Amino acid sequence: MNSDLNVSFELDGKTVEVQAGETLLAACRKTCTEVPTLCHDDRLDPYGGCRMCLVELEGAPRPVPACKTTAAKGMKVTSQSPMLERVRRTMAEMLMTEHTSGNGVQVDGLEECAKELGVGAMPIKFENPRTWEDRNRFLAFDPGACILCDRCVRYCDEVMQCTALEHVGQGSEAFIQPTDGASFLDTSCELCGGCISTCPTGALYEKQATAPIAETEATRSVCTFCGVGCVLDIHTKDGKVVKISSEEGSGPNDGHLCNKGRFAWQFIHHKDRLTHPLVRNAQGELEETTWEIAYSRVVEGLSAVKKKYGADSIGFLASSRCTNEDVYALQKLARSAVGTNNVHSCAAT
Amino acid sequence: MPTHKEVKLAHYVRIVVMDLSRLDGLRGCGGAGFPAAFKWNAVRDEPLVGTPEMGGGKVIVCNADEGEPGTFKDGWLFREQPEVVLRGMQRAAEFAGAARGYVYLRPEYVDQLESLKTAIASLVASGILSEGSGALWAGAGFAGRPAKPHDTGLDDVALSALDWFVEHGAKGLQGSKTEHGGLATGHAFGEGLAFPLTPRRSDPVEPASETGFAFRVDICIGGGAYICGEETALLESMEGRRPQPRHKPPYPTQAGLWGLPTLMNNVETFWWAERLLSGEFEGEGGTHRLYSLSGDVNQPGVYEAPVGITAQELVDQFGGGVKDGAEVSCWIPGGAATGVLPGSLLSTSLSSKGLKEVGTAPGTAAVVIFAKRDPRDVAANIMQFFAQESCSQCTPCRLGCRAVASWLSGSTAFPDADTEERWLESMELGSICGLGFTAPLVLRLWRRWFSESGVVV
Repeated sequence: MNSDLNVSFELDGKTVEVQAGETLLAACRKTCTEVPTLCHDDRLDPYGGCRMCLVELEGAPRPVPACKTTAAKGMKVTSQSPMLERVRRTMAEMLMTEHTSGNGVQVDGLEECAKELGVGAMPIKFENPRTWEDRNRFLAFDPGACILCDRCVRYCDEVMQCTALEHVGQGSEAFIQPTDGASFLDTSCELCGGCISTCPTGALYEKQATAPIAETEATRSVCTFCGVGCVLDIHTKDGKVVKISSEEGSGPNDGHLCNKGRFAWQFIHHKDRLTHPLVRNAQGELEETTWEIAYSRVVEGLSAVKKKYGADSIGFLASSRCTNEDVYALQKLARSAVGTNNVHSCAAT
Repeated sequence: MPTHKEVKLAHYVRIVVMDLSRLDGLRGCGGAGFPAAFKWNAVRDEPLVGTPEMGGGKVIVCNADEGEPGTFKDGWLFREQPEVVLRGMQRAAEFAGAARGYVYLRPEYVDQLESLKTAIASLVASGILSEGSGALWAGAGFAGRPAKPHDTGLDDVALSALDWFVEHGAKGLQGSKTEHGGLATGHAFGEGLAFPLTPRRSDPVEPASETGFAFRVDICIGGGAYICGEETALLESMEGRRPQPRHKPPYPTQAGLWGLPTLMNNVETFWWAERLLSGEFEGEGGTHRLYSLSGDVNQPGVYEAPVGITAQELVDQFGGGVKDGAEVSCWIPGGAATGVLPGSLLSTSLSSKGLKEVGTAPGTAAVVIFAKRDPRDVAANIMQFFAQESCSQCTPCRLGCRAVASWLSGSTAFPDADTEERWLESMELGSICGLGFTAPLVLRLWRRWFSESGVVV
């Protein structure tokens, strides 16, 4: 590593070296120093709103948010002190006092964080009467669980560039809503559900998720909707899919998904879904069969066509859902087995 | 008189070397009391970023948002002496090498907008300001995205909090009620009057005919919220975003409006700077201030008085005494953020030192006198105002102000003294801007000077 591009500073009495431009939070994480955060997502620009990650910086009049402070040479940073612990606990306590538990289909990072810090809600009454309904089928929002960390708004702005969410109003009247208070269906929302993925408290959640996340089992898989190969976590309960998510930092997608990858999974358990190959019987009706019989039917049919009209009368079109390997195998089949160069992938157009 | 020596920087951008020693004692009059000359020097010392033709250069901003409840001196200045303020800005521009200036005007100041436009036109005519000055545009508020200048959605929020300021404030003053300061009531210009929302960053600036110095002053109509008076929130508003304060550093002097070095002063600060540097005011800088005196006094108004004056003297010598000779139950020394003091402390000097001794600060020098009002009501109303005007960006201010307001208004209580102390400490240490830092002062002052029943301890 080029040492000019590195910055060394003092963190809790030890010299730490990070790349120039990295934040104190990144440095804390590299050195396994525990600093809680709620409003931070590595995929977004630092916000510094939740104030959970405050650290002491020598020379600064007040603690600074680690997520929003770039490491600089010679800094002296303290990440753990009785004062910081008190302030962090109080921040969590404030948020817990305002927060109402969501329905559990998302992990509630605030409640986990508060539990770790050993704090709960204070008996101070904050009125939070706002409710929110939307006619879209996928995204649900529970304003009571929202802590106004703006992650969803920033995700929508910075990652999707849709600006379909906004933070409006101020003080006790501030809230998050789809832009101009419209339904998500009437904004520039693409229903990617990225706001759900970044929400730290589960205020935003999948309408179609049927079981609390704690009761589900996650299986890592790859999305088959296109050839990008987004990494998915498929959450199942009793052998049935209840939700699909993707973990930040994983796969080529870094936790981002499109609306198909995140929401289009009901077909898996749909009664109309084909679960066996079908071939036509003598009466011309489709009936269930084995793969062996189905393949032999294909071979018979294609061989007959080739015999009658020649190999170039046959063409192969690969679906854009195929991976590179799938498409490679398909062209191999076309060229070696059938003997034609008529091969195309719809991902090419 | 200052020595003038001009240095050409780039094309027509020049700086004028002048002696700032007259500004030595002058502290910003917008509430924080930051030394004015420090900012002026800091902006001059910043390297020039780009040129004004390309939308670069340095920028002068006059903060006329004047949202601090009880404060109305800036409104008075812009109605009575806008030219002096503009000349102060022009002087700052010459000193720092800035070619663009903006007045960020509180949207309720409809009269002042007219007098300001007239003054700009007259200074353009006399060749002090560049041609084209006086263009209008609108800053963003909290109403949503994008900013809607005629949106009045904040009316209810704003007026419910401090309607007693209107009732008990400077009732006898000339002009409209909105001059009382503090209440963000959205834009008072009505429907249908559209301003461009585009920042006027690259409007041409040509040297003014008389001075040969290019300095163009445009007007940005404010976003209509208390927090817009915080300097970095003001910049966000001018740039068309939600007025949420920025994290500092960088300070506006380093990277302010559009990332350019920005010299931002309060209206009164520019006014004093001009009077001091032109020699019109012969005393030392910082020895006098404009006091906004209001409440239960016979002659509320804006008064220029020496800084060491006591509140009692201010009321007696300038305010014509307390209305009906009543006894003062409580008073505010320098705008809502400086909290509530008991009537028994009226003999406190309104200097930094004097007010520090009783636990507060001079703030915007807005003295509000209450004859019958229960101090707890006053404190509760201030906190409700802060709870509603918090920008909602950071946790401690957004929720802390709400908790303190709800405690003072009697609807809920902190479970114990330790919790209360932790919440106040977290607001002071953990907030992003001055609203959150200083809001706990209201409860701390209350604890110090009043018992729960409202009797002076």
